[in-house]
Amino acid sequence: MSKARDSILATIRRANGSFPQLTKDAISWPQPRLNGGLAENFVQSLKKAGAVVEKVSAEAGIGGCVSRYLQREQLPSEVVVSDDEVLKLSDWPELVTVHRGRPATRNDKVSVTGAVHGIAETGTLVLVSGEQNPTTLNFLPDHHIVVLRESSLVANTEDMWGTLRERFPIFPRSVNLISGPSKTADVEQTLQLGAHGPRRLLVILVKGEKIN
Amino acid sequence: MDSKAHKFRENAKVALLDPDLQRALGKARGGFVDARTQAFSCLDRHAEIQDAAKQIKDHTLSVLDEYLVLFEKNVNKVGGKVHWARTPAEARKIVLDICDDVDARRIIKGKSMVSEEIALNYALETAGYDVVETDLGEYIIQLAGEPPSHIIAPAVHKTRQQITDLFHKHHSRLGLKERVTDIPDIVNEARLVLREAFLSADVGITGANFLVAETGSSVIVTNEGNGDLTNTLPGVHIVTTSIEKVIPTLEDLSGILRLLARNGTGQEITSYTTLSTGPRRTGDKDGPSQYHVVLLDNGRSEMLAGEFKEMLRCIRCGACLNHCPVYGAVGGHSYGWVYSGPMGAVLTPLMVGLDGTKDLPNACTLNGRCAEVCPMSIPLPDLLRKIRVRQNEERITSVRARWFMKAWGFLACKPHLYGWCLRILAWLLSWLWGKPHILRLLPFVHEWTATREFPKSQGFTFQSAYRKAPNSHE
Amino acid sequence: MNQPSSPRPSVGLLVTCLVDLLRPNIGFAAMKLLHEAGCDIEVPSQTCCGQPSYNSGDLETTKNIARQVIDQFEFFDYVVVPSGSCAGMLIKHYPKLFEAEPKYRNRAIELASRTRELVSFLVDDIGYRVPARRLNVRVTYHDSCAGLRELGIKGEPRSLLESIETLELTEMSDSEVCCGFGGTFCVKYGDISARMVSEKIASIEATSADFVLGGDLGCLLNIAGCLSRVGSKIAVYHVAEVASDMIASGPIGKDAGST
Repeated sequence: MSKARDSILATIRRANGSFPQLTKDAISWPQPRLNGGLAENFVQSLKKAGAVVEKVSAEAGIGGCVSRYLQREQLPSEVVVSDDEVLKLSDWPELVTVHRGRPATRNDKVSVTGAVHGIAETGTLVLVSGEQNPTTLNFLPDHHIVVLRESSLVANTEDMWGTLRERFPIFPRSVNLISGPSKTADVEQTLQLGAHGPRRLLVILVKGEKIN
Repeated sequence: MDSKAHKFRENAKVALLDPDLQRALGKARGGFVDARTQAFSCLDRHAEIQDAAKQIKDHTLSVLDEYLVLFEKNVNKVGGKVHWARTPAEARKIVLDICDDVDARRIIKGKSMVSEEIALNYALETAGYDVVETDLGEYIIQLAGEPPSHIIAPAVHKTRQQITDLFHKHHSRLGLKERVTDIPDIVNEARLVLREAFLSADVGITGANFLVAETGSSVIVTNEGNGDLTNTLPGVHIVTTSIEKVIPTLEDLSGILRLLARNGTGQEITSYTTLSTGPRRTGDKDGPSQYHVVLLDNGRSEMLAGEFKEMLRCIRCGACLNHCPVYGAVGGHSYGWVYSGPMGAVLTPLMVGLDGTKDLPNACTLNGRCAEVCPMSIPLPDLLRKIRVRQNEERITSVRARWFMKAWGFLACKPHLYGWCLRILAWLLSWLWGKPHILRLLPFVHEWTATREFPKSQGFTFQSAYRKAPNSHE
Repeated sequence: MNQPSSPRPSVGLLVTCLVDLLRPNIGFAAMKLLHEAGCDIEVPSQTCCGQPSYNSGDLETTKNIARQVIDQFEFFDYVVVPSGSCAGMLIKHYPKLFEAEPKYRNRAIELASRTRELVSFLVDDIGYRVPARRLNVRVTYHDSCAGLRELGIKGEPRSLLESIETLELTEMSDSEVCCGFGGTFCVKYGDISARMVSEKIASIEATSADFVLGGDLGCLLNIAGCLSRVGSKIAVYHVAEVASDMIASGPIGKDAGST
């Protein structure tokens, strides 16, 4: 172990006790109440942050929803889609070229990924990296489309950490909490979308329970 | 960077007369304050959350060694590495060695105040690396060759016109000859230029808003997405951070996040909150293959035992800067080092020494607005006063000021003598009123009369009039 | 909390060094209000509360002064101060000052529990209402920082003023932002202080009030000095002067004449 480590820890240990000794269990975080339902809160917050939200009634409709978005935004009919299981259940219209199972490259305009959870309190999407989910898909393309099952919505992030701990005994390399498109106010405090990450964020909310 | 805090007075004078800076500060001032008020208007149980935040930080700091060791253990477990640095020099060396090890050429950076604290860019550039800041604000000031003037809005002091000029000067040689003047075009041009940097960098350096001990994660809170490209695209991710950033669990992160963005930018939450835990895993198709965390001390462990320990609760939200009327008047550069405003006026003397930072804790009216908004309940005015006490004890306060106080204190403890002196002074001030040519010669008076009329005294003191006619009010 | 020992509470008036030197009228206004409120008033021999040395980091000098204040004022039911910052000094800072001196610390804590800022004392402790006084003016109120943030005084001066018929209170924007006085700050960093006060008077002038009022003479001197320099017609008074109708002698900073 390094000399610096030992010396820093020794100085800290000499100071231990200068702060009130309060056990961790004695501290509880109050959680804000939601006004209204999970989906309603979630959608409102996301829209406020500048995202677009669409709803589909089943997984099969995802591809069609993406295709309509591409047409509306006058984008080329080409998307990179992650291997997330929710996306495998979708039908894809023939005119859309779908690339699967690869990270994003500089020329990709549109990516489609899944999300493990949605947080109603703040309108936040929770994306987790892994074999099926390269992180570059979340940040490099101009348009990021995220598909989320309505049944995955939870009220607060606190409701999700326990599930993540169980699902990933080793914590994922990257957990991305995404609450809107990329933005900056670094020029004269004026809000501008699309700084470095996606300029647009489309969220597709899939109704109903997970189908196994 | 070397501290220029000893030039606070000169810096402030220049700042007050700089019309561009004043325009930029004017725009920022109201904006941040209103946004914060708005953001908290819809947060349920704000006070309780703030209490818990203070408690969790105090708890963590009371056993900081345990949480740091746990954090390190968990980083090791996922294949990352934690490096400990007592000083900025040690931290710079660690980063330089890593870059050297992987034969890096281009290094991209996300915003990191610790990186500013250790003057990392200068060290990397001197060693021959091509260093590119990718946060738009940091990129702007990198082009301008300036330090940040605000901990969350580094280029808040720049006007759009100045940014247009900077981009024109630096981007022309990249073939972008047209002057961009509108904000969307400015942001787009930066996106275009920086995209190349992202895709060609060998090392990405970010800071960390928090370190989660439970998982060994470093957390960044951003809006632009540059931090995420920085920690995902290059082969090596280095986190430059400091020891007080550690928090125990993910739930604690959830709690504190409710305060951070609301206090800083006035957002409920920023666009991106990212937890990075180690290098790319088996099967991953992207992400860095190396993950390093550089833990800087730089005086923090010493602060832990002393009277400034509460400063270690600071989460760098920027609310104290945004609400400080002195910061709002003179801007961040006047403070002369990387941290500015109230938190900077406490940290800078403690980190770079009381000598050479004399003005920082004194250039404050102790109006308390900073402490009122601080989400971590840091008693900033009390801490500033404590630094003044140290200055006095270590005789950094000028001899003249110390003797003046002693003489005045002596008088103030002799009510009778004091009463007589005050009566003479009251008469004198009344006589002097309307004689500005004499008034100007008195010590300190010019500082007042330059912009304000001298107050007319009534010519007698309250106590002398009262003793003469104690019942005149009835 | 101490209960007053008699139906007429005894009040020690700590007039503050600035009022003593520059604006005795505020001291007499305070006495008039306290008298109307049914208090027995005494003015013990006094100098200053010690803020100048305290805020300059000279704790030894401050303690010497504070001991003297404690000795002189601890016998009253209440210590009343027509200044939020001086009252705050006794209430919030004296106990801290004597942390290592148990004897004086206990006395400081005891004194702190009986110390009140004038207006909050009149409104909160006594329930005083201004007797029938007519004053046809439009006023605006500046919240001095120490009163506001150390003592939480915000509604009290407003409710006192609202009890004066025909007086119209109009709020300025940013009434809670510091005016730039800050004790010795205003002469140590005159140019920064000047910028701050010029923003304050811009807010004041935007209200087109006749009077600007406050509870701390320091801030009022600063505001008055700046208003005079720019030739403004807005008059500056301590809130006690207006509530007691003791404004005949002219506004702060101008020739106040004699009482």
